[in-house]
Amino acid sequence: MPPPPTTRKIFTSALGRDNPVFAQVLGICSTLAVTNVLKNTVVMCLGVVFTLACSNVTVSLLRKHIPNRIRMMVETLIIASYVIIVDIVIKAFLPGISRQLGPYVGLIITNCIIMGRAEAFGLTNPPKVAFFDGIAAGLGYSYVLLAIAFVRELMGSGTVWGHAIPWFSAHWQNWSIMVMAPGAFFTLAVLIWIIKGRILPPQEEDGK
Amino acid sequence: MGGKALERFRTIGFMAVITAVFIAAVSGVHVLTAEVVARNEKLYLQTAVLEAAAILVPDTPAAIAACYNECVKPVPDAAAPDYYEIYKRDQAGRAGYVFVRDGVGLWGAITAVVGVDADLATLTGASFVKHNETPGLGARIDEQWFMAQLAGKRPPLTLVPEETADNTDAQIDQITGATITSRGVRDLLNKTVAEAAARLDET
Repeated sequence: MPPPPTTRKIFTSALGRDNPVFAQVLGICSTLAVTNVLKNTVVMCLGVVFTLACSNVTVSLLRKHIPNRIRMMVETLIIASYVIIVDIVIKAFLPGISRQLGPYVGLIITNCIIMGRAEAFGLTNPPKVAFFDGIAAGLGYSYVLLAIAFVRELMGSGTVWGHAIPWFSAHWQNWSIMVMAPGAFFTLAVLIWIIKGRILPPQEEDGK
Repeated sequence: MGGKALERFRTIGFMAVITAVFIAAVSGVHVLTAEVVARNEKLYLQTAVLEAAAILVPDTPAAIAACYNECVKPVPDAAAPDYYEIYKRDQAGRAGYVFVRDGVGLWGAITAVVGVDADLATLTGASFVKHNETPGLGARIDEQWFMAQLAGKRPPLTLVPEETADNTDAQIDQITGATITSRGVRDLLNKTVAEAAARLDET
């Protein structure tokens, strides 16, 4: 078995070329659903980072004991448990935000990034690296979502974090479509184009 | 054959054990926070009733509960209230009523807390405690300006484009991009007030 990757490598790949959202295009459901206002996005991101780190570590701790045939059942169970805990805690301590996020926190369970990391990384790596991998994937997911949410809230509602921007909000005609799901598709596509086409250096051919 | 059965037994046993462990953990968190969650819910509804009745809501949870107990009387009882009678310190007799009623939004039901004056015709306020409307569009019914414009209006209400409502009794601003939600809210308010007038006028 190859040695586990270094922490540095985990972070650079999750934030850069192997980013879960713009490179692997995973977790798109929540990218569409919760990015129309920044505040909700931040809570969602915190929930995803927490769930990713915890589920990755738990799967990693149990990796030598989980029977191979039922590994996905076990992973789903672990992920669902952490998500429900997140949901309950938000409901108890941030009731206002919980009301706004509605069913979306529960939908973290179906976020493909979490299952993907548990399958691809947690199952085959020791807990410490798995923890960093979870955090890294979560941050990679978060910054892309926050960027999309910033653009959508600004163009769709003319605000940032619920606050009007002095000169801008007075002169900006809100684009309703940015608040709805298609706005997220447009923003994500433009973002992928900018990052993959302009910022990241062209990919070397595989099969070297 | 024995090895295979053992393997199967181990697989099922592992799943059973791990399920039990995680259910115990989730239940534990639920039990620990159940009281806080219930208290949040109650406080939220009490605040909404007070706001709908145009009573100034105090800052602390304890003061809100005290204010609620003083001014609000659930009818027929607190366990299954049909509506709430409002009594104010500076006013003799009933000051008004508050109704919690459901209407139809774009994505599902909208639950509104609607305050009606003692004349059974004028709105004292309204807020929307449960709905699944689109954030940034229909969900703007939660915004302060939208709720504030309802106080003092006398249904039946009519909708006019956003930011064009005048000070007359019936016009309210609808939300641009949320026509169906706006209509749902209008119908819900009209129906609630009509029903209130029909039911309570004689008493």
